Amino acid sequence: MIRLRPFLFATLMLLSGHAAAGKFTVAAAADLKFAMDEIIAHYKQDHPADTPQVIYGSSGKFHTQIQQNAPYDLYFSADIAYPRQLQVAGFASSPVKPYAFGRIVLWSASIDASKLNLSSLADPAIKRVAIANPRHAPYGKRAEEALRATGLWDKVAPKLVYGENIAHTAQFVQTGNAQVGIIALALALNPALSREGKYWLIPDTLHAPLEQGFIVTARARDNAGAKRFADYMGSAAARAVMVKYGFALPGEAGKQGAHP
Amino acid sequence: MNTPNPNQIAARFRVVRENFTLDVDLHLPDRGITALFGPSGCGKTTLLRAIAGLERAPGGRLVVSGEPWQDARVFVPPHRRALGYVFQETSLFPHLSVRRNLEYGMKRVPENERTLHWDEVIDWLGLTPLIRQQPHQLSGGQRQRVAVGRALLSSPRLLLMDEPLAALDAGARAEILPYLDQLHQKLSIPVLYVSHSAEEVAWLADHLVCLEAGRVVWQGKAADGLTRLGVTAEHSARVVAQEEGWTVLDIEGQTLRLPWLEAKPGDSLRLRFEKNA
Amino acid sequence: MKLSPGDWQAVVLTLELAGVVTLILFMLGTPIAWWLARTQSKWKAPIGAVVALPLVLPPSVLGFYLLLAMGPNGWVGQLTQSMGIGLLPFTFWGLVVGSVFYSLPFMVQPLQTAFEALGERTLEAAATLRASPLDRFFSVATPIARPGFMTAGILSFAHTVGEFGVVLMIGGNIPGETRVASVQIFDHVEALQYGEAHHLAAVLLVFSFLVLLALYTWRPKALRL
Repeated sequence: MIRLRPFLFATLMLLSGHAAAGKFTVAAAADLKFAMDEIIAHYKQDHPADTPQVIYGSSGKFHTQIQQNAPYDLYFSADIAYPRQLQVAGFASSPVKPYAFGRIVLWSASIDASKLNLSSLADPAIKRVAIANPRHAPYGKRAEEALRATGLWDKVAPKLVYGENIAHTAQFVQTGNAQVGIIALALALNPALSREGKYWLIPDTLHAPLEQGFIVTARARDNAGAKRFADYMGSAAARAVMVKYGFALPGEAGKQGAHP
Repeated sequence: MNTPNPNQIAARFRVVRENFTLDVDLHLPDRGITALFGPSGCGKTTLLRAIAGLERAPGGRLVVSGEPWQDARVFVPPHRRALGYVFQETSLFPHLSVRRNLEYGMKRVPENERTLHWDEVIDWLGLTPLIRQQPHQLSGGQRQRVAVGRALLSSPRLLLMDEPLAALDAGARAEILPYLDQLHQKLSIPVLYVSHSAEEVAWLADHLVCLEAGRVVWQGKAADGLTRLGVTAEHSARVVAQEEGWTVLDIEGQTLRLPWLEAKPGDSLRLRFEKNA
Repeated sequence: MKLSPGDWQAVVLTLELAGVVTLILFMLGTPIAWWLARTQSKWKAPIGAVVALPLVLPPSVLGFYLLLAMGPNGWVGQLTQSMGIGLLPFTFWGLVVGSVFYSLPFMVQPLQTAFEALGERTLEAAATLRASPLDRFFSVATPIARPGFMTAGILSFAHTVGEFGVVLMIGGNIPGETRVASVQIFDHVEALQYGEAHHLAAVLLVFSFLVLLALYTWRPKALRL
């Protein structure tokens, strides 16, 4: 039912009519889960009159839903290509704003991943490696690129199992069914996962940048709250939270977005 | 089986039900038809089912032909008891032809233990024209005849019949009664026949057990018990001759002339006289 | 209509999975249905409820629990490892186990209904004709309940073909091993390749429609669970 929730919620929103000023809905990529929760909490302190709602899910699905007029006011995608397409198609009321660069890591709940590197994945002792499905998940695409760049793809491919998104991929590893996974740094740093395992940061030279971007949607053209939140993402407070969760920020040289 | 032994079937059961308690201790003859007679709900069917092992009656005791079927230590399951059972409503297997129904029990008895044979049972019950049919094509009376034949072909040492005619209309009853009546003469095994119909008891029974509210209130020879059922007299008669529209009968040495009856000289008949109500 | 080799592989795998699951369910579901139809035990209601649980449990929840249970730290996982089978998630047989559990009510309930309709009398008649309990089951109960077996088999098969959530959670989406048609369609949609999704979905749709059409034509009351 996890998958149904955004839809159900969307229906409720439609029924309740358009929001009063200050009420807006954020559709955010799953890798933002912890960072966005914290940013929203800070935002509410600064803007007590506003009542933001956040829905997490796959960037691709939100992309499809917004084309069908889903009631989202802001769309934070893990792949900047999606909001760009929406903007061209007229579903945006703002320019596409890059907000972060994602990073991928090796992560494990059963072995000390900080002592691993990509070539460790060829080790016969490692039977299953989980990555997000490269066909549609941005983090999965970058994982595949990194494996190909190091010439490991052919050796590792038979061991791969595919999660539907980066959170599902982490689940495979968390439950021990896959010994190692390639997941978002943001997830590896989140409290629930960082307790259970360590990570090794995959150099971002091995894959295309995971540039992430957001838009204010066309339906939120007159939503003052949505606009305020879009501006807030550029604030020092929000940027600090993003950095804390392992995102590199656009406009900052920091190649290493994290401090492992 | 030739030595008569009045204690051939010994049955002691106590079954507590919501509306009655069956409490019987019976010794039944080893041949002939014994009617278990009584009103609905007197426990006669429960007794029959307990004898068959279809009803668990803890603490009961049952010996048939010297073989314990149930006591404190033994409970022989129904399929290991050499008995035949004819149910009130049709119990033919709907997915099998009449022939396969008849063969069902027979096939499950080793050949050297079969005491009744295909041809004789088919003949007694007039089943030849029915054999190729399916159960749903038969009338109610025909179905019960097949059910009796099926039970007999499993070579039982005891035949149990639970109101086999109760679900039939008068015509079907009249059709099947003569067949059942013949069973006396042809079968050497005891038959327990549950009924609440005095007519059937008068036709068929040699021995009678009357049940009321779960207890035996009378038992003995059927002829003696018939008065209890409103039948005042019954006699065996032999057809001596058929002449000029009259049938001549011999009743214990006396000659009786009756308007023509459908019978052949030498046939035996039973005459029953009832009080006009 | 053109299907890619990957789609065909998914379709074939789906049919294999549904076939194996249906066979196993016949063996597992029949005794359960028999017991439920005939018992007067106080356990009848709780066991019946457990069997029906997959009807109401969200598949993703069921799948997640299975993933935990069959993992290296779960009790099923410990068991399969100690038996030398290894771990079940991401394998065809893992999907079989999950699907058997998930489709169990679709096997048990039609069978239970069929067995209940048998009535005591026919079986008692067989008992008095020297048929042992097992003999009665195969010579009387099974043939009379055959329409129930057909319904149960078709429903279990069709339900397994349409299964998605459980497979997604424990399958790992491995081509030729755990990537069944429903997951393949989902991936086409996620990758925004609607054309491919339409083709494969149409195949599933036509298949399911034909199965149900056959069932309804042949036994109009079959779906009254």
